[in-house]
Amino acid sequence: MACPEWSEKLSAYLDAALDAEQTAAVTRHLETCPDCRQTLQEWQRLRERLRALPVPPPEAGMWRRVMHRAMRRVPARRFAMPRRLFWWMAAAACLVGVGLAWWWQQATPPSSLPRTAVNLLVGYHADAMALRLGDCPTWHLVASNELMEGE
Amino acid sequence: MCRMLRAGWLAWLTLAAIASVGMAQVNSLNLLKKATNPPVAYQGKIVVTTWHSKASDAAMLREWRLPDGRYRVEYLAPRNLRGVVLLSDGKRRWRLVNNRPVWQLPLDDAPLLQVDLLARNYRLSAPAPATLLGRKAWRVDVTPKVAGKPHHRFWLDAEHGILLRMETFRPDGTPIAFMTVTELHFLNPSAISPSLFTVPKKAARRSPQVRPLSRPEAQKRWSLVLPATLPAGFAFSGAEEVTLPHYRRPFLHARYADGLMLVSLFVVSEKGEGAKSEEPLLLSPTSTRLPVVRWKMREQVCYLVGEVSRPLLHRLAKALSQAKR
Repeated sequence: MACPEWSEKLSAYLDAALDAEQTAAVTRHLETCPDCRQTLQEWQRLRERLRALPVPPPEAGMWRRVMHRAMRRVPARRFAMPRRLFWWMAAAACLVGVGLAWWWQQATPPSSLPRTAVNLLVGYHADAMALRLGDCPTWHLVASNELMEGE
Repeated sequence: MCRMLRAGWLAWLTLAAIASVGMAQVNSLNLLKKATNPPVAYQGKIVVTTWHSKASDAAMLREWRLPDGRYRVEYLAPRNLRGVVLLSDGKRRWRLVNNRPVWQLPLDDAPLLQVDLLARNYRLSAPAPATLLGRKAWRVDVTPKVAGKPHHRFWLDAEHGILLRMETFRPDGTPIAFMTVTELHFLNPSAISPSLFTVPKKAARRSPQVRPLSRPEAQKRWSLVLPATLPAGFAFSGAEEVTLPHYRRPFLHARYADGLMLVSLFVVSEKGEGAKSEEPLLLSPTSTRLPVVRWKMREQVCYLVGEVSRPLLHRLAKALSQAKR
């Protein structure tokens, strides 16, 4: 979670919408704030994933069909739901959605857990070896990469 | 003229004597011990490259360290490792991925480097002067006395003992890993935000269970024999039972150390492991970055992992599989 006072600026920072002075201020803050750095990285990842989604080309004749439907007369509504019931149902759907998102977040393993036990064990060993030398990067890099196996 | 020459020689001899006395006072073992926890706060950028049978990897890291044992390491590159953070609060070391815990390892109260074992199993060169990042440093070569173990070369900051560079080679001379500190800034500990070293709340809540076991306890709980010593100078140095939140089956981790290197024995329940042979067998070199030997023992499967030569690892596995009470 980013610091509340920086959250808006972080978003603008990601869009390169800040002037030079504000950009420098955000950069300085990022140097010292792991939470904001983490949030920025998550946003960057999300944006990259969204950009990577394929955009399907429109089917032939799509515009003709859209215009045809738009020009048709809309039939009169046969059933009108009471407004209060509609809002209750929307609230219930939101609650279910939040619950499902929470459950999914808790149930899925961290993305770095490998699929095979042997990679996991080699990673654990490499981390233990790293600690013998004051957390030597040579060894914790082996652990980091073994844990990514099967991704 | 003759008097001037004599005076010059005398000055040179005096300087040489002072230098040799200074060198003798620098002890390689003490330097290595100091390297595990330098008494100064600093921020550094590190580049690492490793070569293994399966793959070669490289990474750029940034780390902050405090003299009280707290530290934070962040992966800056490659892209797939961004979000990996190693965090120590001085008692435990966490591995986090996007703020979620993978596991936490206890930082032993015992000294990290077992000096007596190291001296017994390795030859340490006299420290040789060097200059790295514009700072005075000492180079120490650590050569194993037994064939099949890697050779290490360390460059340590002369003032604070910070590990500035490290090279590791296989017994045949091929490189295993190079690590270099490319930037080093000393910091005032009070100016560093404590949040850098704080474990995220949600990570602390979903803590993996690590239960330290003595050798007799581990033997009893897991119905196996753990010898006190193994060939090539390895000695039992600790065990723990680990249950990871997303990997329900607990496993036993028993560590054998020779003062510098570590070999790990893992014991897991047989279910789904696919090991059929009770004879220790080396796994394919392309399946993991480090050599692994696997064998079956009653209802359990054992894995021995370590960066030693494959024949030596196989020898150690045989000793473990044939150990008797």
